[in-house]
Amino acid sequence: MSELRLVPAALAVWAVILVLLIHGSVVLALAGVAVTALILGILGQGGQATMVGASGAAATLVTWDGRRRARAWEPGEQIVGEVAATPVEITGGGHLVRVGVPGLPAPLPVFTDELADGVVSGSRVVVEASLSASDRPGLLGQVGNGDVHPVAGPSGMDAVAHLVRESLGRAVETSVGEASQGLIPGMVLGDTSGQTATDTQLYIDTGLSHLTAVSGANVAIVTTAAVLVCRLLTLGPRVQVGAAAVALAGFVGLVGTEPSVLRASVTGLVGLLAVINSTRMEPIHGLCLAVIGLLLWDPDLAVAYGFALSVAATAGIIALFPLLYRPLARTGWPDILVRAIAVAVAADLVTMPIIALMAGRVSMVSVLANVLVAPAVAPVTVVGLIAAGLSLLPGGLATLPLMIIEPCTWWIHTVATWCADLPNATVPASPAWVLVGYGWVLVGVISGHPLKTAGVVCALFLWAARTDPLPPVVPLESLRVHHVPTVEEVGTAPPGTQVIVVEEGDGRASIRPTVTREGIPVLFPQRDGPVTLHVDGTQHAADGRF
Amino acid sequence: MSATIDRLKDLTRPTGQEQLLDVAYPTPRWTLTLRQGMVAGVLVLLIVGAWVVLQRDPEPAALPVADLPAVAAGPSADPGTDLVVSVVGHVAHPGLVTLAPGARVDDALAAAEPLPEADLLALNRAQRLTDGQQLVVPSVGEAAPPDAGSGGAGAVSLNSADVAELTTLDGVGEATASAIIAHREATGGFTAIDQLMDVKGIGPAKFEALRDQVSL
Repeated sequence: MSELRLVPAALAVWAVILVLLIHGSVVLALAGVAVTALILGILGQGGQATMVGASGAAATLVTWDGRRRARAWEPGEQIVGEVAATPVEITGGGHLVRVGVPGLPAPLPVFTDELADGVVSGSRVVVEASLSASDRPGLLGQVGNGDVHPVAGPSGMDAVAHLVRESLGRAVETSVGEASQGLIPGMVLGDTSGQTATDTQLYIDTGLSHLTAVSGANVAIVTTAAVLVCRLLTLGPRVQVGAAAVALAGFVGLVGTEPSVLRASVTGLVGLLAVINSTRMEPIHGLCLAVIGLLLWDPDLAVAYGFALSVAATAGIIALFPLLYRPLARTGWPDILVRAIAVAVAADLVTMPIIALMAGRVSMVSVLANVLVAPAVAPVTVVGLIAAGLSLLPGGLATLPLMIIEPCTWWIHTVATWCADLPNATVPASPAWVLVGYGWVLVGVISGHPLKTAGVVCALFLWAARTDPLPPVVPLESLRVHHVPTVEEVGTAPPGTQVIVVEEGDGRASIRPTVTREGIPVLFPQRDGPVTLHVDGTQHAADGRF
Repeated sequence: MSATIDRLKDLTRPTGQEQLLDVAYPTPRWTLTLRQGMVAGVLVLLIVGAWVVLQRDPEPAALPVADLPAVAAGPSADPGTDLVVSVVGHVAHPGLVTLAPGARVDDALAAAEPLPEADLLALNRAQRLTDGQQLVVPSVGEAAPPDAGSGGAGAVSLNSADVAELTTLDGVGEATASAIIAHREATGGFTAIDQLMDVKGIGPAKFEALRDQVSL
């Protein structure tokens, strides 16, 4: 934490690109850079002033040039390009396909109603779409709506990655249970297509969704595993670095060269540097280099939440881990637990304001969930990658490693389900409140009172989760009740019905009460357990979910 | 010798307490010397400048046309074969007319010889014909056939419009237009506008956008 010389330059690059993408004024961006450089110069930091000025100017140049190329681009009737990333299914139907088009500085997002077979990452496509202005800031400023027709399949590295995805998906389907089927491809390859929407929401609510994306952590785990194996075999540092490089190449070879993977590789290498070479290459220095390089390479990253979360988590762990570890270690808890808590709190603290800004809701259980799953993550990533490689070979060799990691993924899924069912698992929050609240937690821990802080936090949780004295219950017998066998027949209730009771018990228990469009309460006693109606019109489940 | 090494190892072994010690870490280093700043800044600007200059001259997307899918070629884009159109209504010789590729309504009328009462203003004589099309020649005062003036502000006819006309619709490119025509030929024509949703590439959203712009 002592090598901070590149921090101003990295911040300057990020700020300049943000101003250019959101506000669009080159004059404002350059003026900001000039004023910052001037202030630094007056403070006697001539070198920093030069560096900030130069990197700010470079960022302006790159962004302005990207904008210019995007404006100069004239789309034809058909746009020919290559799919840049795995198509994403959007909630509410349809798919988002990012198509890399020659001459454009960034992939063109195309929304399409139906995803044709063969539109996978790396395949050549012809896009027929009407273009309209995008409401998200970015280099292109436009999105397409229309059809994506595949022309040719993926080639080279993309073809291998596609093959690996398919073969691992098949192996997973035949050998492990339902809870693991969505998790293993997600945690190993970042392929979440096997997850149901409910599962995806479950991992978001519990702060575990970073596990199922290819993140810097994946790369760091894989390369660190290679280094540690070499150390166990008492091999020299050169062999260790070589093994890490081979492991990284193997990882990229199996996962593909999508932009998100390359980005994760760079952040993961920063993590690896922190592990093996922290005395000479300070991790913050490496992170700053990575941020400057990546932002100049792809200015759109400056407005990507994923990138901001990734950088914030890395920086937070580097900067806050020592601060949090020392007071926690004095508690005398097992060292491994203390380390896991310190990492989880450090990452949670810096990412939570960004999540609050992005989603308006934050997870209250993410530290708990992340600490609980921590021991299960590394085995899944490493052994799962081996399984992905073996699944390419005939003979079902992948079954054995998949069976080994199945208890781990089952555990992660169980933890997520349990944590999501806790009261107040997610709460609405604004970034300012998150900063204030978590700031006090940080102050409490650093000032040497981790146990008292934990006690106060737990007390607040319990206070928030307490059950208010409920208004009197309305007995069902006093109401006109209509019983239907399935939820599809709710509409058959005769006029004057006051409560509808659905007899079927399928589906996951709801976390909020159900009413029809007309406001008639709908109860699912078989699915949600006993639910009572109250005189103020509210419903309450017996187990306190709502 | 080995005893000495063992003794040294004993002394240098980690105690597990290092993280707990109140270590005075080196003060954070913020300062860049002017020289370092200049070198690094110039380097960044040079690399970025070179990259921008290289991007400035993008080679045109060299994509062999053969790679394009069949969706690009609609039935009307086939210049090789003669057109057969049906001309009915107020003409001297109603029936099938065989014309050269690229023929227009005027050519079909010349072959079928309109009667004196035929309302030629109701027809766009410059409109290109498609193979298998029916041309209805109304008399003066008779309501114009629904598919007559499809080129202008009116609705585009699903059952008679060609690729070029269909592509005038918002959100319809050549591939979708070809798909509409292929569907028309496969099913024998549209009997309801809703059937547009059966066409590959037209979903509910696109259909809503098209609904008011097309007729049967």
